[in-house]
Amino acid sequence: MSAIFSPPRQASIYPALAVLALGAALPYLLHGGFQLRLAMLVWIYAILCMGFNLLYGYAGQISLGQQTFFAIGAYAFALLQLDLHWPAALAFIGSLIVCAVVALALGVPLLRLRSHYLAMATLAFALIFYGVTTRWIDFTGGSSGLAAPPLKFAGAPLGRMAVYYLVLAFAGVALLLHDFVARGAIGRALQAIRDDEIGAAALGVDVIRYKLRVFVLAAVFAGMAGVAFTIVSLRVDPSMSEFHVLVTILTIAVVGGLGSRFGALLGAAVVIVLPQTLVRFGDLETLIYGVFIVVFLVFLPNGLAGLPDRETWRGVATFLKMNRGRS
Amino acid sequence: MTAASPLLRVENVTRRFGGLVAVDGVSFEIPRGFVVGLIGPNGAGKSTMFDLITGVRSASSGEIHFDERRVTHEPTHMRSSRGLARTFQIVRLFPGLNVLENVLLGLHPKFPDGLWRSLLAGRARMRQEGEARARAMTLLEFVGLAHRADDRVGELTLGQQRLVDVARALASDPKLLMLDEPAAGLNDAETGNLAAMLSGLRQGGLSMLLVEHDIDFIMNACDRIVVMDRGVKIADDVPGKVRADENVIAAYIGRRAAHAAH
Repeated sequence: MSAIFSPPRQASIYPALAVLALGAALPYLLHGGFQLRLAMLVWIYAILCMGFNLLYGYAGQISLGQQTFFAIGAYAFALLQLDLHWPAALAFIGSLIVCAVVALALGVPLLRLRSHYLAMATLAFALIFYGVTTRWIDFTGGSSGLAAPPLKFAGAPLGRMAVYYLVLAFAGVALLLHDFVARGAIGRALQAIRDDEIGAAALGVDVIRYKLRVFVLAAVFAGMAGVAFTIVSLRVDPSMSEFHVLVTILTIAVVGGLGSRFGALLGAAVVIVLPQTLVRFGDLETLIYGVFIVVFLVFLPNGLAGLPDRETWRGVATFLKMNRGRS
Repeated sequence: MTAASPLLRVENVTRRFGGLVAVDGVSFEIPRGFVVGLIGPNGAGKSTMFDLITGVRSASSGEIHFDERRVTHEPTHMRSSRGLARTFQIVRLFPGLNVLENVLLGLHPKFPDGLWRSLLAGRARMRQEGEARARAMTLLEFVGLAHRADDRVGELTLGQQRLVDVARALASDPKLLMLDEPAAGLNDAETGNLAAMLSGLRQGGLSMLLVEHDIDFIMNACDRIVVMDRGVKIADDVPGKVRADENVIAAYIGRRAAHAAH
């Protein structure tokens, strides 16, 4: 028996490669240090949110502690260099391992449970971590944080461009890994867990293990973003694990589109860059920003990444028709 | 493995929910290549029995052997990878995935487990994905839904969704296919279509367990029928004998007749 209908085409790796090519060309299209810095911030938030997207958008497990893993990665990277005098490359790997181990310790008891337990426990974990970073001053530098040593190559600190390409390399690894998961059997298994855990188990998906794996992976993504942030800002402080970082993550997820391949990237680009262009509106900035979010929630539940889907346009058409009937 | 050993052996299985005994010391077998029906009035314990075999719930006492192996306390996903596939009474397709992806999930145990192994598989994984897609398409053709491969499952009718559920269960090439009230909610045409398909699978030698309300449907589809009432087994025989069994008539058909007389 052979198939008469050929299956719909498999998603390819090329869009991800195209994004990275654009990223490589970006420094030549931008003007000045501020714009380059903004571009690096977009990549950093994209890495952070790609992990969150796999965890929440694909597997449906909501963590309110991704900003904490972001900070843990950063603190571990700085402290391994400052206190243990590890070279930067080793400290980078070490900080990812720290994030994975912490996630494993949290995830093993938590992910056996369903629904809101993960959200509550990760939120509590975030509050504890914030308390420790502000109060254990000898170790963490308290609320003023730590100064991270600048990366050096052959004795000289890295230039702006070199730092940009390093951050891009991080983002590239994250993007290809995210895309690899999203396009294949693992992504399908995660989505099945999100939609129906019992159904997924009936098809042979080891639900608890997959939930644990994606939780650890998301923590490692966040840690990688934290390291990248430290390399750019040369500072680590408790504000990295503050609530506003979590709000930014959630906003990027909504604007970009949860459970989509490039939503985190699109969302990060818009949410990081847009406020900068809104500054000229002065007091209206927050208002415009708020309206923007509401418009997204109402019209584009699948975010920017959902724009090509016919369901999105059907939704908009229904909404308009509904309101025409009312007036 | 001897050919004579039954594929599934349920041995003196009991399941209690607090003070309620939903399944009380039930034993039966499914020989290889047989289609066995499990029937009984509402509250007989059929669904609980089904859950105990698939591992959604675990037995309070007794043993379940599948393919020469004791699986009584194994989790669902392990029984599934041993070749025990099921469909759901209330169709449980994954709404976030399209029709093809739903069927592909049936092939999940065939893929490398986890991120490292998938990454290490490299090119082999690409080929595997291609083969899996071709197989999933073949199964969709078998149930007559190949043209809907790219659609969201929410856009299908209930009858079509049930067929996708069957295709998905078949994807893993199971040793035993368990169907939980496959005809529930289907119209006559859809039921006829489903019956024809199951009959095709039966001729192909697939072992099946069918839980069903629809008596005519099950009488024609099965080699053997197990009847349960209030948690206990009251009959276990070929369809013709079960239909004539006094206990069965009293418990099942008789009760319904009495109900109709009111």
